[in-house]
Amino acid sequence: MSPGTLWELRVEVVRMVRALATDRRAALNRARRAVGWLRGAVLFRDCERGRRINASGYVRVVAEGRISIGERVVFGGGMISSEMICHPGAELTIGASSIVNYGVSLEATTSIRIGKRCMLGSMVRIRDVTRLFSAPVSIGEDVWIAHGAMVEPGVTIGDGSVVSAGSVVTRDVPSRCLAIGNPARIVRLDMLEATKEATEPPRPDRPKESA
Amino acid sequence: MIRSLRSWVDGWLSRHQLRSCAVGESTRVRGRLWIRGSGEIRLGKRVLLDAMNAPIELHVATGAQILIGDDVYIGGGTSIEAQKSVVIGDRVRISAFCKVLDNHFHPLTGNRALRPSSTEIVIEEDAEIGPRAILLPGARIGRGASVGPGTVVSRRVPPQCTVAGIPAVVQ
Repeated sequence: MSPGTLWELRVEVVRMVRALATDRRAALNRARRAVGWLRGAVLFRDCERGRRINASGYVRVVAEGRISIGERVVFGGGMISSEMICHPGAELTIGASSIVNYGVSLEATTSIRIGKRCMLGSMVRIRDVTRLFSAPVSIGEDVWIAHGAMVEPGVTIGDGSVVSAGSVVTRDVPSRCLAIGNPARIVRLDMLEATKEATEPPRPDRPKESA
Repeated sequence: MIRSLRSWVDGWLSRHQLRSCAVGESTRVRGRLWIRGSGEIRLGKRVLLDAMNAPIELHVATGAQILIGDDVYIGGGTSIEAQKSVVIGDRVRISAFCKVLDNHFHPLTGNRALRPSSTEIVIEEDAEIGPRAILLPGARIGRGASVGPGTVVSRRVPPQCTVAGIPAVVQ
């Protein structure tokens, strides 16, 4: 463990002990965070990692290629563990300040790049290989991938985009767009209100309201 | 003798994991149940939380509630997250790996750190939710409705209807 992480741990422990007298819950949260840093340091020992990586639960790491994790990335623990598999010669990058929820599966045989401040929801699967071909996956900054979505090989997702829950993204998503459906279709986020009427599902039990 | 010992252990594990919930008679958990948060969880009678394949998560924020009726079956890997209220009626069947959310947690546009308001989720009696379905805020499953596998529901589903697809469309 790097001296930087040890120092931060010491600061955290001191703050936690101080907080024990006044605010139990804050002390408990600090303790949890400190344990998360320790767990992150142990789980990601074979990866290039930044500082303050927090792992709240078990993450299965197979680092045969090169995995690099930016600083302050949070791996949310939960009932289903996440996994990061990087095959030999592959590259798997997670940008700084990203949040990875439980049950996330990342598998890289070529390259998977995830930008800064991304949010990967629970049970998201990102892979860059199928039985037939492999192509790199590139996810921009500030991308939010909601629960249960799947990103297929060769996809590039632009900055600020959102992938809706349960969608399967097979084609590129431009910046600041919403990808929804299986296969995902693109809706521009700044035009979302205008397209809401078009995407509203039919409601047979209710008479249509006249505009 | 081994069988009776095992059933005693299973019973104890089930009661221990449900110790912070109000449970009805014959309600049990098989496998691991993760309860997060300090909200209120009420389970009716004869509820089965079958987490043998993957743990079930019930996440209730402070001041929130999850109310589950009688004769409900919840499959493994399901996660029910309540920031305000999730109400599940009698005889509902929720299959494996479903997700029930009553808050999006982030807005689509703008500052993603600002949590939007919650919309309570109601699943009425006799409904069936297929495996890997996702119920987003604003979903209301009518009586006897059927939600197909992998469906993403964010609106009201009329009673006795079958919905499928992303977004959910009446079949």
